[in-house]
Amino acid sequence: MADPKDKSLLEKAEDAVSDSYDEQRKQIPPWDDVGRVKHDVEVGLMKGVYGGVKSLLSGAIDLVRLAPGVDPAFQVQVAQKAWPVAVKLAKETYISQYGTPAEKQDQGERTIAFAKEVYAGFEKDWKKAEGTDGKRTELASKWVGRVGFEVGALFVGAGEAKAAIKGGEIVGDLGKLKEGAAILEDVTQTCKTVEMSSKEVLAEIAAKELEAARKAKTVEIPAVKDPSAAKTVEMPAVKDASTAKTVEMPAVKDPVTVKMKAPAPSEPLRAPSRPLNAPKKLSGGKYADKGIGPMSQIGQRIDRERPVKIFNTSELESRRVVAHEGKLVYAESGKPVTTTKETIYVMDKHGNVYVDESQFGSVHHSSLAGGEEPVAGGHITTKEDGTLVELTEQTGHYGENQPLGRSELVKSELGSQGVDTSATQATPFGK
Amino acid sequence: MTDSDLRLLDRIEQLWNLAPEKRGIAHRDLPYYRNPGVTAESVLKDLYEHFPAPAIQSQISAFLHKISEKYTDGLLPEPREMFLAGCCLILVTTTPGIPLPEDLVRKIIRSFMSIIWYRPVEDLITRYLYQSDVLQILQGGLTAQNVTDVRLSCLEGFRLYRGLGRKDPSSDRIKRILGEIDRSLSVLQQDQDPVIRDTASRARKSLTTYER
Repeated sequence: MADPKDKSLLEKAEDAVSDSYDEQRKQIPPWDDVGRVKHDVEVGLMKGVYGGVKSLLSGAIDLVRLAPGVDPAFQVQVAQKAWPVAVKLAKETYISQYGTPAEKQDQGERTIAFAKEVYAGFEKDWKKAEGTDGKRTELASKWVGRVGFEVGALFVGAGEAKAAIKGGEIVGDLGKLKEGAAILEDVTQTCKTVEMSSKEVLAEIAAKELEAARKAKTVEIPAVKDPSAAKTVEMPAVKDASTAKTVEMPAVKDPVTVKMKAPAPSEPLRAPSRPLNAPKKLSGGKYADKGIGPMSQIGQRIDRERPVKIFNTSELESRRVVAHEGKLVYAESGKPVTTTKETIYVMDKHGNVYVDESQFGSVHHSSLAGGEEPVAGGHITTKEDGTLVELTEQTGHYGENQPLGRSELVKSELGSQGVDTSATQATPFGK
Repeated sequence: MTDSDLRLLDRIEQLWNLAPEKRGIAHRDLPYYRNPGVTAESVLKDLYEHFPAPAIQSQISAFLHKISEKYTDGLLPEPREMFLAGCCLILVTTTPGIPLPEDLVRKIIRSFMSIIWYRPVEDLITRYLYQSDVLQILQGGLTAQNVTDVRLSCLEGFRLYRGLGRKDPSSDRIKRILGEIDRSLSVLQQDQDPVIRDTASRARKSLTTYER
């Protein structure tokens, strides 16, 4: 085992992060099977994606740097593409080791969100290939090849990495080299392959453990400070009511009787129109091909030169809205969305919609886009009870990049989520 | 600025700025945050209870004039000024609102950065001006100003304020102004600043929708 003193700063940071994951896992109560599995899946995802990004960066740079006869202009081009990725990794590494607790929490949330998004892309391809063994084999072979390249580049350097791609034929073959270096332009696609195995295995374990946890009739419940407040636990409705029954919990240190209440047989089993804590949609990228393009140049300049706030993941989550009984409510608080003339919205590529009050000079559409390219943005009007009245396409930051008709798209998306849009007006820009 | 001005602005801040500890997670680190739970009508009502109507009108006008001058001089207002300018514009454009001198309205349209302030400025335009007035004001910002922000604001204003304002009794004036704007835009499309060039091209596209 290597002496810790000999480790690089990056390795130390990676160790620290790994230790912190273990610490976090220890904090999960022993009875919280679901929480533990969720933690394992998320950590697995993060590690996979991080490894992928790191390896493709070093691999692509080495390939270009060491290959003979490479056009210097092409080297510069690759370096330009690699630089922001390297800076990003360095910043994230710094945060993981020296960041404040809030920064670390934010980093965790962002990484999880990114990892899930990456997996969603993989999942989509995999599902698409369902039923055609040939396609799936082809897909798997492609991934295995890529993983081979990345692992090689990471652990054994560029020579072996080059060998991993078509037995070393890549040396001197500029076309192939470009193909390898172009990976940098598609980080997401590449990461997808790296976390495939861990995700699949973890997802399978997660599914099994969750199922086991649900079926378990005896659950250890820790002592609570105020037993009277926790005597009855409402369990979610189950499809087969006969399998759910009232059970007595075994004695624990400070015994508390917990009853699981099954729904009465006569009680209709119905799902809420959409739960208030509806999880943020991270997969699917339903509108991945409908991004409204880069922010206008003037918008970019404004954000650069003025203190316009760009919301992070947790801040955005507090502004996400969902449907509840036909009305629009904030997912986090369950409060109905009420608006003024200055209320704005943005929809992301997954169909998540965020709403906030514009604050001149500090909160604009770009704040709600969270640094990503949105699908739509404009102003929103609701009644006091959250009834959706109007969506417009008026935005200063994105300007005319936003194609006409995006308010209709948002209306349709919210309608599909359960918002009553029967009287909602979608107003194109300039109308 | 007089004590009375300060008291008026302080009162607006007191009524409308939500204390950081009471804000949601997304807004805690903003220097000022206009509480969406407080309506413009309630703030106006409070101001009328504490200050005479002419004083409110003159002080708000003076403050907006000061911010306009800052923009015209190429300066950025301080966070508190941004917050208060937003509050004042919302008060001015609420119903029945606070009347402003038309000259000040023109200054605001020309100098307040349009991609930030378009919402209340649209209300001002609708209340006070003809379509041709708006075009002329923006055209003035392109030629008379040497401040990049003002030029950018006016260029983007051609898109954001397109078609706003009362319809002119005759289309002759609009035609003439559009011709002048077109000439200015072709010059700006050759500007050294890429953002000016880009925004000028976009402005030109926006103007094609006007009837000539």
